[in-house]
Amino acid sequence: MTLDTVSILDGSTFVVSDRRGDLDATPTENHGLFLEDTRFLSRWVLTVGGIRPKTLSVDEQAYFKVQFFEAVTTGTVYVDSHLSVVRRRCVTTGFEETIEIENHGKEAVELEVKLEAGSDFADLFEVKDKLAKVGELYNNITDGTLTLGYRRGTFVRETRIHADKKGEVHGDGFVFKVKIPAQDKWSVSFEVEARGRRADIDEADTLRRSTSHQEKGLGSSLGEWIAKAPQLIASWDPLNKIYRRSLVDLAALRFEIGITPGALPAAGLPWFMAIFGRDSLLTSFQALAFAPELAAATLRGLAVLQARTNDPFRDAEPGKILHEVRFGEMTAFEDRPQSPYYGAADATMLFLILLEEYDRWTGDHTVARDLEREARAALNWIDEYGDRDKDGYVEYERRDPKTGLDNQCWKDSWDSIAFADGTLAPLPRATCELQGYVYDAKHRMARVAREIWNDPALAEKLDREADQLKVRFNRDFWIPDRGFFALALDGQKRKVDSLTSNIGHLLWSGIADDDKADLCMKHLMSDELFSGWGIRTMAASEGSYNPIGYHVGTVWPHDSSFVAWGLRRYGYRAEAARICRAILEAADLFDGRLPEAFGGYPRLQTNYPVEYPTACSPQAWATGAPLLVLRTLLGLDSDGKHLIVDPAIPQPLGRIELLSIPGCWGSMDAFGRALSMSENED
Amino acid sequence: MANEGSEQAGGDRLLGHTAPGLAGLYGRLRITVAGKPVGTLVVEGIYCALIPDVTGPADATALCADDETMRKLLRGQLNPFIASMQRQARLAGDRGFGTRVILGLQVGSPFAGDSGKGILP
Repeated sequence: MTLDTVSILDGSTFVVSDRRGDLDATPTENHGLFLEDTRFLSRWVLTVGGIRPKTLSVDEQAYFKVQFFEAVTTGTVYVDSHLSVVRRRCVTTGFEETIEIENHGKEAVELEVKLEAGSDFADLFEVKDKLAKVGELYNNITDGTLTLGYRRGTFVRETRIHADKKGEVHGDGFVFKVKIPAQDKWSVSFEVEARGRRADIDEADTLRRSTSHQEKGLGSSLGEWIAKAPQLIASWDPLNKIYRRSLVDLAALRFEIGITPGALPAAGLPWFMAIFGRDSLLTSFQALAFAPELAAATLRGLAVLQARTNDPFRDAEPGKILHEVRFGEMTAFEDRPQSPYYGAADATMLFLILLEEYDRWTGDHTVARDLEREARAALNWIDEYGDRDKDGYVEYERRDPKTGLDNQCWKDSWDSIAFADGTLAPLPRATCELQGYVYDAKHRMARVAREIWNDPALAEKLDREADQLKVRFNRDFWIPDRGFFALALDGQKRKVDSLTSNIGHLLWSGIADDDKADLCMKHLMSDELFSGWGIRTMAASEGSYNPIGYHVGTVWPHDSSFVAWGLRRYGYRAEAARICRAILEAADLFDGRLPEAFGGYPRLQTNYPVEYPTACSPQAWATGAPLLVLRTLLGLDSDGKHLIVDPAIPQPLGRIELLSIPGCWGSMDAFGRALSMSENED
Repeated sequence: MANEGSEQAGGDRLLGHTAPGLAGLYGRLRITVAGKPVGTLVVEGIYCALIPDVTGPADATALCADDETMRKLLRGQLNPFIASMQRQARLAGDRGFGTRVILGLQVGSPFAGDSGKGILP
C-alpha cells in the first residue's frame, strides 16, 4: 500500500481511496470498494462547483471509518477558501458516506455538487493482472437508486447507490443543485451497497442493520476485543503502541466465513482479504496467548473445508488443508482454481500443530475431540499424499501446470527455492521446513492421541515415525561443508545448498540435532542472515540474494518471530532476545505496524528498515509477529496445567508486564525485566 | 448443532444407502428448487435418506436454482463454492452442516448413479 491511499475495512469488505476520499481506479491506482474479491466501485469522485476539493487532513478514526477534511480552493495563494468539506465514511455491506459542505462566507453560494460513480466489477486477479471483462456491464435507476451491475450468465454482481437528498440521478452518478446560505451547511448521505453472491439471502439481514447500528456494533466489537486481550505495561513505551496496533489490526483482519462460529484472521490488505490456510494458522499460533478464540475458529473453519477428493486442478487430495478461497468471477468460471485451492504443502501439518498447541494452551479439549476425524485424515494425507514418491519426505509439485502454484511452501514466489549459485531447483521440491513441521505435528498428535483420543497405539506409531524422520532428516539434509541444513531436496534428491531463514523453522519444530542446531544458530545470527532488523529470507552470501527480492533477501517479520521462538526452544535465549528487539525496533519505525516484508539491507547501512514496494499492510502474520515476540521475550508456554514464565529480555526493553493471560490456568499475569550486564554474566 | 448426533430424524431411514463422506454427521438438509421445497435429506452418520418431507424441522436449507443443480448436489457433483458464486445454489440455516453434507456427498454419494428417474425427485 502506498502512503497516498486510505483504506478502511471490515472482513472481506474494504475501500481503498486516495487522500481526498475519491476512488479513481486506473491501471496504476488500485482504488475501489471491494467485496468477495470483486471491485464493486471503481469510480467515486466528488466535485463541488466543478472543483475537486483539496485535502487538509485525513482522520482515520478506526479501521472501519475515516473522515476527510477538505477545502474548495482555486489554488490561488493568499485567498482564503470559504467552503469546507467533510466526508465521513464507514464500511457496511459496502459503505455509507456523508458529505457536509459548510459555507464560511458572508454571502449565500449556489453550487453544483457532483458525485461520479462507476464500476468495472473487476475480479481482484484482473485488477492485479490487468485483464479484460467477459460479461456485460449495465446500469439502471429505480426510485432514485442507481444500480451499477455486471452479468455473465448467472454470475450477477450489483452496486446500489442511494442518496438521502433529492437530486439528478444519472447512469454515471448524482448531481445536486445546492444553495447554501451564509454561515450555513448542506449535507447529503449516500448508502452504497455491494450485492455479492449471497445478496438475496442476506437482504433481510442487511435491511435490519442500519449503518449507525452496524458502526456501533463494529465499535463495541473492537472495544470488547481490546478489553479481552491481556493488558500490557511496558517500560519501553513504543512497545505499548506496537501491541495495541497489533491488536487493532488483528481485529480489523477478522473474517467470518459463516459456516462455523467465530472469526479467523484473513491474510492481509489489499489483495489477501480472504481465507488462506497457512496465514490463518500461523497468525492464530502467534496470537494464541492473546486471543485463543482465533485458533479455535481457524481450526473449525479449515476442518469443514478440508479436501475430500482428489482434484488435480485444485491440487486437492483427501485430508489436505486448503491454501486459499476466492469468490471472484475468475474463480466462479474456473479460470482460477481457488474454489478452494489446496496448493499448500505445509498447511496440513500446521493445522495439526495449531490443534495441539491450542489444546495444551487452553485446556479446551473439545476442539481436539470434535476434529478427531479431520486430524486423522490430515495425518493420513502426510504419508499417503504429501510424501509423493515414498522417500520419507513431504514434497510438492503442482498438478495443473497452467494454474497451480510453483512453490507450495510459505516462500511461494517462483524463484525462492534456488541453489547457492542461483540455479532454480527442479521439482518436486521437499523443502526442509516441511519435514520439520511433519516431525513436530506427529509428536504433538501423539500426545493428543494418547491423552484425548485414548489411542495409545496411534500415539506410539506417531512418536516412532517422528523419531525415525528426525534421524533420516539430520542425515539427508545436512550439508557438512557449509554447516547448515539444505533448503530442500530437489526432484533429483540433490541438496539445495542455499543458506536461508528456513533453518530457523527447523529450530521451531525441534527436528534439528542439538549439535547441528548450534551451527544453525551461528548462521542465523551471522551478518549474512541477520540484517540487524530481522532475519533475511536468504543470506546475503547466496547467488539469488536480493535485498528487495520477495523471498530471496527481504526480512519477513513473521519469519523472524518464528526463528526467535525456535531459538528459545533450543535454549538460545540471548540470541532470541536480540532478534525480538530488532523486530520491535523496526516496528517502532513503521509507526507500530510491521509490513508483510521489508528490505534486507544491513542495519549499518540504513537508520530505518527500507520499505518493500508492494508489501501488504496490515498483513496478518506481520501483525502477529509482535505477539509471538512478546511470548518469546517472556518465555510463555503451557505444560497443559500451568503457565510457564521464563523471561529473557534485552536491556533496552526494561520491564514487561503482561496481565490476565488466558489459558488452561484461568487467567495469570507474567512479569519480566532486563537483567543488568553483571546479572547476565552471573 | 445439527452435526452432533440428533436421532430425531423422523424420516424413513433408507438402510443400505450409505454415504461414507457423511460419517459423523447427523441432521436434516431441506432442499428447495426455484424457491419450492422438494424434499429433505436426512443424514444419520454414514446413512442418508431423501424423504418427501417439506414442512418438518430442518437444520439447513439448500436453495437450488433448478432441478439440475439439485441433482448435481445429491450426486456429489456440486462444488458449493462455484454454485454459490454463480447463484445456482446457496445455503441458509446451519451453513456449516449444509457445507459438510454437500462436500461429504462428493465421497461416495448413494445418488451418484441416479439419472433422475430413480430416487431423486
